[in-house]
Amino acid sequence: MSSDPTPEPTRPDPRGDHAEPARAIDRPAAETVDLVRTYGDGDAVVRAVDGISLQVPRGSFVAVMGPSGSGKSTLLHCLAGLDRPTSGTVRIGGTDLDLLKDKALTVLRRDRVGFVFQAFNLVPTLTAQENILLPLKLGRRAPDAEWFDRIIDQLGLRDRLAHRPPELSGGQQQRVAVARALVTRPDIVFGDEPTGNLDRASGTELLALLRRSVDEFGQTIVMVTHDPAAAAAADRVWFLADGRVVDDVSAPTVDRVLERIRDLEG
Amino acid sequence: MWTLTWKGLLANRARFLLTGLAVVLGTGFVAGALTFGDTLEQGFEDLFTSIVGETDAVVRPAGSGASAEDGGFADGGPPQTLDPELVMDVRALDAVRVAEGEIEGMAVLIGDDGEPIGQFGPPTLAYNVFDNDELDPAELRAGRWPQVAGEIAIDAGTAGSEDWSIGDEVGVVFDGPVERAEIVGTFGVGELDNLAGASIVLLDAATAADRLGTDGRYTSIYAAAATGTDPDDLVDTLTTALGDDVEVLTAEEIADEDQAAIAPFIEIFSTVLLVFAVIALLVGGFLIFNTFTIVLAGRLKELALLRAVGAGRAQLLSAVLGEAAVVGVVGGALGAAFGLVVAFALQALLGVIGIELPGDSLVILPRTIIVSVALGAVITVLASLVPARRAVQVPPVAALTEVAVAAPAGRGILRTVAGVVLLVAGSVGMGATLFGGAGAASLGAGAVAIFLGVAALASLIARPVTSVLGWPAARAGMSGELARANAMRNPRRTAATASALMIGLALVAFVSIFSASLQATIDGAIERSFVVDAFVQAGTVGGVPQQVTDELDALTEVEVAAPVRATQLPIGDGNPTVAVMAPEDVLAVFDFEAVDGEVAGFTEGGMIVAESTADARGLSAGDTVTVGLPDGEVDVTVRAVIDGSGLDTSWFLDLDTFAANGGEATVFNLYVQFADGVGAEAGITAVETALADFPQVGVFDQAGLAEAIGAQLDQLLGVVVALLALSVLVALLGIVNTLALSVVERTREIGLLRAVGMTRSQVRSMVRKEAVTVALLGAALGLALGIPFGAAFTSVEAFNIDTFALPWLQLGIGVVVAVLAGLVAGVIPARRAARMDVLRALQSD
Repeated sequence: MSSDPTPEPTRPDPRGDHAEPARAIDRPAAETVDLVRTYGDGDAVVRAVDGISLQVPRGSFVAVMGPSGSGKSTLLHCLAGLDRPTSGTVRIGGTDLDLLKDKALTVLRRDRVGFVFQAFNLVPTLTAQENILLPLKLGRRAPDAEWFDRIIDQLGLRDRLAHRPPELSGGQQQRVAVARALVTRPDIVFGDEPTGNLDRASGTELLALLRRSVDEFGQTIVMVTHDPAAAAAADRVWFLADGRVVDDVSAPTVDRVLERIRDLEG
Repeated sequence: MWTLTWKGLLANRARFLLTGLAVVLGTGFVAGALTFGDTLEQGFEDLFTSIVGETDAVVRPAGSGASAEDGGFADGGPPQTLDPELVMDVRALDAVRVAEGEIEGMAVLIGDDGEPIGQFGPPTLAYNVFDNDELDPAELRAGRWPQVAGEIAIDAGTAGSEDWSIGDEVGVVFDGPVERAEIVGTFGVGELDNLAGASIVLLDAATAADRLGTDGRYTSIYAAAATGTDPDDLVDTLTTALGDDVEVLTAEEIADEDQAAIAPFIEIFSTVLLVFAVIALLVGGFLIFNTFTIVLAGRLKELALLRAVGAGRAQLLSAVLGEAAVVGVVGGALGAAFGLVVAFALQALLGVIGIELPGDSLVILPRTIIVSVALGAVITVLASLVPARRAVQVPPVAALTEVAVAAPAGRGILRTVAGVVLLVAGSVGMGATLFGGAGAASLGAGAVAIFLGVAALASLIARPVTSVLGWPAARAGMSGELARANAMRNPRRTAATASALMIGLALVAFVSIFSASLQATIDGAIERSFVVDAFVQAGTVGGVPQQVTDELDALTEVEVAAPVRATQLPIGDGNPTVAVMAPEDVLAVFDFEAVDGEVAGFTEGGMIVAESTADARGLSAGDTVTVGLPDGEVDVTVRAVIDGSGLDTSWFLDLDTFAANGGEATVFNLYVQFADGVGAEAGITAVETALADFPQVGVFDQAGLAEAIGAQLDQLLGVVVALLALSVLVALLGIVNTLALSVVERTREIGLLRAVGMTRSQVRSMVRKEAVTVALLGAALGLALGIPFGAAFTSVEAFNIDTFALPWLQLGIGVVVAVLAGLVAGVIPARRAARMDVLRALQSD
């Protein structure tokens, strides 16, 4: 069991011509230092995240696993700027989130972070295309037509753009969410059980798409999951228990993940 | 099932709070109007009793009593009076302890601004001071009673509102030029400083005898019974002693008679208030309907679960309707209490504008509470019936599925049919009153049916119309685009919310159009018929004094000053307004061309009739018509038929025939024609100079007259619009409520938007823009309804409106106010949406 989960970059940055500016090259896409998040107070205090320091290298695909209550969701929320840590530091692409007020944090989420939730990812009144472009339009930014085309072709959404969410299958809705997450070329994309509500075929397809966005676009992804098969699509898996990172597995396979889970529970 | 009702109420109490508030407001205004009316009635009763005071019997000329028909004011002519000697006769009787003669007349005080006080509003009365204080209803508040000419006492209320004190010299007008008089005392009646806005002047007996137009005779005699004499015996004694020329009434009969005279005014006042209160209540019904719809939509899972464990539809329905009934009853009860505040506020409001009404403690009749609670319960249950029926249709299996349940798609066809039926029935109902002579009830019910019909149909057009109305917002950015999409996503909800605002706006649009059309018609009429050079108009109910006519006749600049007596006379089965004038004046002032007969024939007496009326009645020159005059019916010859368009009367009757048959009418207008060669400006100046001492009359040229009438219309319009503001206020609450509930419903969506980068201010802007879009829809619907209403009313023959005018400015202001209302209504829901914690919103159900 590794007590130092700080990972090495696992691959060279493959972004090529649409890489982020130089500021990003030598910095991790996201990192935490002594991150603590507690709930309640006094005797009833729950330390959901209990001192985690980690770095997410650029262009890596990290899965976060752990039993219920291990703190994996809280870690994700703090990393993504949806929740404020009790103490410690969170940085996205070198920006210290603790220093940001609500507005700046919102803008950071809009421009530099992408989200794929388990369900209810899309605004029901907007079409697929409007949903994909939502973060850009909120920031009054013009979409990069070439990049947009590349994403929707990659995700196979071209003939679904005019549809509203109720007219899309669950798998299609999740793909629209992925497209929205990618359209701003964010520093990092967070997935909160993105395949949790999908059937096996759709889930597998979505994981393949996430994998390709890492391989082809150099996207960085952190994904919380329960599913060993999903975790196996990542470059590495962090195992959490009681608010701490208790293991770090590189180049995971389904068998290795299942083995680790058994070890941790045993 | 009662358990379910209570649990439902408790679990949703925040949501029902606003519903309850709507009920409280609606029923509160109804209760307030009722309480105000009751208090007024009781107040006047107490007042009239206290005025009578020690008096046991009142003697007055036979048939001179104030009656309800003429509102207590005689229609001009000298008052019937009693010989002053009669007081001596009364005093001489053993049964009489004390008796006083009263002279009632009119005196108009002139304010420091030179304008008469009272004008056509509250009465301007004058009396003599009694020698014996005991019988005098007036009680001195400060100073002393007047003793010689040039001294007056006035009611303390008027002194207060004019900021006059003892020793001030003020202008006062009897039936002649303005006079100066010193205020030597102020008085009140009972506990009141002022009677319903009336100004009262008291004079010493000699001055009253001289100035009040009775030649020193009394209008009535007050008497108190000697010790040991029964008041009823006193009445009998007096009746026997004084003969048939007088009537003798008990104090009680006098008080009852006064009460009966004032009752119609109180009733009109209360009815007008009630109508506006009921409009607000109707608007509240929409609010209730919406709240129940949204709350029930959010509880479908719960209802499905109850169905799954065995609750029948009927049971669920009664539980839900039970909730409505409880909200309605509680709201109605609180409304009754709120009504006290409303009644108190109405009193205070009138007090501020100088009208002190009797009734210092509010009168709450059980009827008020019962009406309030019953109205609250009925309107709430009725408004919740449709959403409740729809909600209990939910299939039990919906409880078990993960998919979000929607209410079963409503029966769109049924709704459309109902809407069309209501619309048609309402139009027929309104038409029956406007064009067929049905009663006001048919008009009111028709209007309500039309409002409901349009509200039902509005959901059909809400989506496209909202799309257009929301276009500017959507152009402005993502928050506007989402706001428009949100306003469109549930057309029924948007339509119902907007419909509440529609009612207020439709009525505002309607009254503005009606008023503008009336104004345009009058302007046109003045332009066409203002053949005279100037127009003298009485500024008070006292009319134009004879001296004014005399003064003008004496001017070299004036060729003719023609008095007009306008009065209503029974002719055939109608009771039209007839202009009574001297024939030579008619010929001198007007340039009539006869369509039939000879205008010159009028000099021999008879009538001139306008063509439209003559056609309607099948009259031509030479025919006779039967006119009801005080001394009996008289057959009058029609001398000429003229093109009467633009005149405000269709009938001219010659003065001699009128006067010879006992006709009496106050002169309210003079038509003035300048002598040849006198310019308009010089003429007006000469007339104004000559009448400087007569502030009770106004001098107008054509533009001035139109302006003066316009000002009166505007004032009326202002009052009506202010009363309608009430329903706009309730509609505003409706927008607040619907949006607040919608925001709660969309918690997760807002969380998502915030997560992907919507800032708090963008969220706020999104909700506010939705509120404005809904308000715009309400304004659009209101105008779409108010304009036809205005067109329908202006085409009613009885109103004599020949021009249909659209007051764009006022309609535009209405829309702007609606938009502002939307902005205000959006503030609280927007703040709520913006303050949501992102993470908690994302994780909510």
